[in-house]
Amino acid sequence: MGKMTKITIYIIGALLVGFLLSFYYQTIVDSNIDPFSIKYSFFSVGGNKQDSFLLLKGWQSRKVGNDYYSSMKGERALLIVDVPSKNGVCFEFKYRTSDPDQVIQVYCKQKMVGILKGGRNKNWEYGYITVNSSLIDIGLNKVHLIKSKASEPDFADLTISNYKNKKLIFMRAYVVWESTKWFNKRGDISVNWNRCFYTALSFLCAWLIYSGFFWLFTKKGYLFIAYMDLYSYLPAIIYFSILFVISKIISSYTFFYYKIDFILAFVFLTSIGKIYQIIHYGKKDMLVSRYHQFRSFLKNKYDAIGNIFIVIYILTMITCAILLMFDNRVIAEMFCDYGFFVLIAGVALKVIKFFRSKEYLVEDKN
Amino acid sequence: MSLIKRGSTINSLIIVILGLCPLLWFKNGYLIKTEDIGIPLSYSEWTNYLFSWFNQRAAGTYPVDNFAAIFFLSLPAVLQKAGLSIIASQKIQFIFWFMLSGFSIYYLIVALNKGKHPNSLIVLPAVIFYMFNLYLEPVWLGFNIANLSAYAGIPFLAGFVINAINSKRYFKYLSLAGLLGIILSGVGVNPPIMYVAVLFMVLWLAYCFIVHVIKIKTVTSARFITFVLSLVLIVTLVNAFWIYPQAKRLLHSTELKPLTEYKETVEEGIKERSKHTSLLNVSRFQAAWTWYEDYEDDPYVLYSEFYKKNKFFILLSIIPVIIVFLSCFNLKGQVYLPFYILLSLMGIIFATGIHAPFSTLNTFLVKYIPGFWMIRSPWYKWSLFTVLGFSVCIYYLAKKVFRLWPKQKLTFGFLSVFVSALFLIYAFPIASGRMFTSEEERHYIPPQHIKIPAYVFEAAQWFNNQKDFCRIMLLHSNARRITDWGYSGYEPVLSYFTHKPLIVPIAADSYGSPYSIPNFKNLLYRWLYINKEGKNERESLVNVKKQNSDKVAISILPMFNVKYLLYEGDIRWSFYDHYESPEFIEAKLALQKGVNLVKKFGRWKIYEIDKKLDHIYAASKINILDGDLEMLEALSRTNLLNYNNVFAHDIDDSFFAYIKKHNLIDKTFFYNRVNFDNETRKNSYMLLSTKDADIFSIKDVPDAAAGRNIEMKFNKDTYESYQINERNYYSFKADGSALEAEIVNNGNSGMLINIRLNCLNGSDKFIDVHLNDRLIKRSFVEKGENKYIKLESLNIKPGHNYITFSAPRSEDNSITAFSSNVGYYCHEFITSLNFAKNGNYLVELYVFPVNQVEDLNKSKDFYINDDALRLDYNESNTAYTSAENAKFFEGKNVIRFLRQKQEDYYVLIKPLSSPQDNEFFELKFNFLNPVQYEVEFDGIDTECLFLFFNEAYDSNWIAAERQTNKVITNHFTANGYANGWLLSELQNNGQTKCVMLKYEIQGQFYAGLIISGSIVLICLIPIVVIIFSGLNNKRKRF
Repeated sequence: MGKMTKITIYIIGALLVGFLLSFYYQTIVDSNIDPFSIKYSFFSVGGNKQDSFLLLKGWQSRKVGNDYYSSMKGERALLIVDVPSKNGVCFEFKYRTSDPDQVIQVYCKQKMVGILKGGRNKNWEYGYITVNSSLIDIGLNKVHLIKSKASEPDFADLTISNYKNKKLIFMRAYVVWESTKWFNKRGDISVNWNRCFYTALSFLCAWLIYSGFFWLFTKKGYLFIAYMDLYSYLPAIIYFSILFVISKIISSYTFFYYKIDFILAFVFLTSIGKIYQIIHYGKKDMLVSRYHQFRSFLKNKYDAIGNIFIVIYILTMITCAILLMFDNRVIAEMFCDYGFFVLIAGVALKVIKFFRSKEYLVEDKN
Repeated sequence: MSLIKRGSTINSLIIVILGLCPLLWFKNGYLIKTEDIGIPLSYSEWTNYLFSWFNQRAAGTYPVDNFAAIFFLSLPAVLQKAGLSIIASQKIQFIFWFMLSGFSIYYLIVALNKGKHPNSLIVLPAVIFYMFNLYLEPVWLGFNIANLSAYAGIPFLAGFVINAINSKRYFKYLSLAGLLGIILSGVGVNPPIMYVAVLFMVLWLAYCFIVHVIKIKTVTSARFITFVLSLVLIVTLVNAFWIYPQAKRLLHSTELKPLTEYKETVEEGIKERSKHTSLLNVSRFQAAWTWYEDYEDDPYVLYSEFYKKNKFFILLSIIPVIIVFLSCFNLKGQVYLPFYILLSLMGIIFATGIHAPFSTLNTFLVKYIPGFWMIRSPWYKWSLFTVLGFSVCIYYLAKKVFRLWPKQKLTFGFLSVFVSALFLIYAFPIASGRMFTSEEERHYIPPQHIKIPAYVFEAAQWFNNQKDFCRIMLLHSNARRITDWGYSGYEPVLSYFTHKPLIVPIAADSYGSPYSIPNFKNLLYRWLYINKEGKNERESLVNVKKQNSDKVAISILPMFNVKYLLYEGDIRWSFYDHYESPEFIEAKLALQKGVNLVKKFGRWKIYEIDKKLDHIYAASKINILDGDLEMLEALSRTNLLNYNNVFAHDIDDSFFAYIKKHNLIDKTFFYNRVNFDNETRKNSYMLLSTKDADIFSIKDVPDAAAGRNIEMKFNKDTYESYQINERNYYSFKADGSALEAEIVNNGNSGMLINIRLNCLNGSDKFIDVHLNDRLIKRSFVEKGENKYIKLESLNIKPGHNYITFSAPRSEDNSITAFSSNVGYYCHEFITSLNFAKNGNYLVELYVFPVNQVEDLNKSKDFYINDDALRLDYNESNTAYTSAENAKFFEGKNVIRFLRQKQEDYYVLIKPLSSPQDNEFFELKFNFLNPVQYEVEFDGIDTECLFLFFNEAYDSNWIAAERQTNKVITNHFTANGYANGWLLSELQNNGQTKCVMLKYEIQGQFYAGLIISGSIVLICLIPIVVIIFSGLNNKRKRF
């Protein structure tokens, strides 16, 4: 096979890998958990900007100095909270009591879900109560509080969040198993083919750059290294392809939390091939030699690097202007932000050079 | 030498020509209204800035930033005194500061160039950029004293430092820095700008130290440090006239409290102000929030959209930042360039505030670096760094380019002019004055070009001609006054032309407003006529009826020496909330007693209050008010309010013991207290408000009148009926349609009723209730039997009314049904009072809001321990009074009485007789100046006397006997806001005794002024010597 044919095949292969990766990435389901956290104030009118909720019975709003809160006047008090989705939730009460023996029972749907214990010093405390999703309705939910002593506990605010957020590590342990059902439910969202195409091009560049970088530490030809490197992506592609095919056959609903899991699987599977390459083709002496080359370049040419950085910044600003002209403000701002860090690096190198090379001593001819 | 001279002359000429640019800003015959100063001060107004008590704002105030602004504001004042018109003086003032900024940056560039004047073409882009850039747009729109002072002063100061080091002529530059200190004094008006300016100098001096002392070793560290210390000392001492009184006051008072409050809100403020401070906007000088927001579809900045859309201007916007960082390529031999590059970077980074990508860094700085929290608008303050850094970098780049290719001078000359022209085009709002908008360009937001109507001057003149001391209260409760002829600002336009003190509302989030009356905030407005709970038309009509006391104007306002109420008919009352229409204000004023229209000027109406009080007066005894400020409003209804009051919380125990011992208490009023300790306090009055939920409880009792006149019947087409436990229930139909009932009012007039409906409810739900097709309540009803809905304050018109109930259908198909038994109820106020012993008293009830009394019964049963006491309405004092005595017993006494509608009551329990043994004395007093009054006590023989001085209470006001100069120590807060003294041992011995009232801080201002003046004189000596020696040398040469 001729060299050009090989190159053509490799490039097509890389484009295909990039295309497929983007395709699979887009076909995974979106997170089923919609994390929410709502903070309610017990003081229904007043200076704070939190949402207020319905305090129906047994409360008295108070404002003492900068403290806004409600006191639980009645033995039983009722409040209503709004929960946006049917999840297990965590109630985080900010409260205080003057009686250490005070115990406040919290009920949802006539079932006790937890207690809030009294504190000693009348300091604000946080009480956490988790409520099973079976006791939660979408929308308004009644929460009853029953106190054991006559003293009036004060409540400042209540934060409600779906507590499953907190168990991500536990959930991720199931990724492999869960991932067998990834690709089923996408509703009406279609795959963005343009994105697949651009990803293919970007992947091609990334592959060439990485191969080039790795080639610096080997004694093999660049084409060979590039060819070997392309293989390192195959396990991931095969894995995702199998899952995709399975998902087309076994139709079922899935719990999958973050797209980062896809990336983790991809990184893990590709790193197998890359580690293999490093072990077999990476040369220690080449690494040392490149390191010395790089170090000497940094040491002697950092002024030039500074100039390059500044030129990059200037080019970035020109790009920003062009993007702004075509109403791409968000991307322009992103470019400008990154460019500015490059500029800082450039200026820092120039200033270091200024003082290290004693440029201030050079005669300034007017 | 001649070349240098010629170069400097040409450069100066260019700056002078550029400096005349503000002439283009003005429209013929129009003044420019700026945000901070508003209108240039007249000479007489400016002279008030020379006093440490500013008596022209509300009840007087310590002018926090007046002293620092003295120099900045002096120019137009002096010019007007010299006979120039207000417009001409404003033009000169603008030109002065604009031109000065040009000379300032030019001076710095010359100093960086080791005293040599660069070629005009090299320096031109930098100077033009400094004078014309978009950062200046908000600065000039606001005419910010501190920003402009710093902008013009800092480059000079930086230049002095290098010149001193390079030329070794330290005395000369210290002297110049001393004189410059006067220009810089305006920086003190704004602490955040002062912080930025000081930080710049610290960084600059540190850099000079590194370069000149550590690296190049052109100067010894001892000499450098001595020079820096001298510089700091001289600039500080020159500013002693404002620093000294300010520092002393801040260190010895509670003035830091508002500062702490400000600090708490600053993080939120920075977040708000950082919405648009992305790096892209900041580095292109387009990060002012006004560029991105509008009000009522009128953009704050008219041309911002053009800048955002026009492709050429987008390209122009990145040119400065590119040029600046191109200068980084050339650092060799440019000793100071790295500093200005870093300064530019710092300016950009800090100016982004809490905005990505530097939000974490800046939040950290705000939290942990002292003083950073002060800067709530990062872009507006830190861009000072950016502009200065950019200008110097532009100069260095131009210099490098000219030097690299000396043969291409002509080409680069053209290029320099071209780039300068681009800068001018990019900042065209500054160059052309487009930033100041005219009336034709605006459709909602007020313009900057304004013409003051003649009636403003006429009214001011009329007020000035009123000889006696009085204050003018401006109606309309919006703190910001916006007129239909263009003026807008927190200072009313009248304040620029009258010397009478004005009372205006203060903004809710105002920190240290000069118009703030101690403790009262906007209470006077609330009491007088504004109850700003609702803003829509319906509620505004209700609020007309929600009159507080009709005696506020006649009883309370004289306590603040308010004699005139000014209605400004040219105020755009609908600007913010469409609330205070002229009719609304008229209606409110019409309800006030003793207020008469006395004069009209154009669209301004002046109302006079029938009653007045002296500015300084005395009383033999004092009233103790034991309660909060709200009790003044309650007392104003009772005819018991006098002006010799002190609040119990304003005096300490020893003072109270003293006045009690010497029988100096006339009456004691307890407000919302339930314990009546009449053993120890004679002549005591108890005043209770039914609005106080801690004292009065409200019980539902059957409303017999409603029961007689009202019938409610469910419409049988709209319900399904059930009978449960022999009671009829009406439930929603299965199709979920609304349940309707008819309410018939058999009376001749409308009735306000409360209804209680029992219901049986299958599941929790919200029920919407409509009365005559208007939603009046959304009621939550719990699941269960015997639940109920309470509907209060239903306005039932005579004849037929319709009430409907609607609710979503239950998922479980459970029913919700109302009982046929409808309960009508009204409220009863109940409380219990503790008396120390048995006694007879008089009871009075004052109903509020007052005008609703027309719908109330004219007699009332008041129960004390179940014994009824009949109270009859007395028209003359608008109260229910009893003909019989009310008997209270030792211990707990339960009182109760009915509420008929939604009214509330003040309950006054007073002694059977109230002897009037207090005596008021009119005093002869002379106003010497705002900080000094002379008070004479002629023919007063009482041993003790209370002196009242109606300026805002301030511990720095002192009263001293003139003959002996002995300071009177018993100083207290009188009437909740003013100054009061207890004068004892005031025997005349046949002579007129005289007391001087002085504001102590003025002495510190004078001391500071002497220090500043002396330093300026000392600084002038070397300058004069240098000038004369220079002239002599010239003569010798010729």
